Amino acid sequence: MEAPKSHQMVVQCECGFEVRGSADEIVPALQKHAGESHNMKVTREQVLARAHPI
Amino acid sequence: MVEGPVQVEVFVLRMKAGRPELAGPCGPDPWYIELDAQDDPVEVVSRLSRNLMGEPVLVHSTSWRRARGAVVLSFVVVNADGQAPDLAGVPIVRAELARSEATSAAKGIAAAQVLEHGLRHLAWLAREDPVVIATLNDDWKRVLADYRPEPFRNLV
Repeated sequence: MEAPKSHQMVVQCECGFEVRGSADEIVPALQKHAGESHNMKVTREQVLARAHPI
Repeated sequence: MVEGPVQVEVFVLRMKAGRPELAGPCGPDPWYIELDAQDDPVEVVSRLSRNLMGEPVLVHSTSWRRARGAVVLSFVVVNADGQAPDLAGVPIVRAELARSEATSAAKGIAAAQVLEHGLRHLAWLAREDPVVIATLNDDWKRVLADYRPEPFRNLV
């Protein structure tokens, strides 16, 4: 189940890149980082699976 | 996070005050890139390097090994002196190479050993390859002269 959109979350890439915010903020930010820095295509579900509430 | 059957491990190098340093997007740690089946590794490393840090001076594959559940292709990327100054750099230290047995892999290979081999490979190129000879500046040639030249090989 996806967290409510307003809940603050943090997600970290293995390279140390970190982004905090709501689900709607962290998902595109990590997708952009993954594509630009690691040539990866990650889904919203994959981002949220790595995210933790703060 | 980086997954898949083929991955790239990049060591981004930069010269600072006549001394080589690691200065990539992940700081002193190797930079990992995922490859799809249709990807050209050199093109992907060059493109991502260009997009993140500006035009690289040199992009070269130096070894491969089995690690991280994948075949890992190791690359060195040489940036110009002072390029991407916002990226923190750390001095490069020498390491003993991880040597395979005659018919079996080395037990463990640290990133510093992969980099050591990458620099020995670069030293070989700096003596043998006309493009690399013409591309690297005198500081790099001086530094690489301290590395025993060694061609491409697998590390396991």
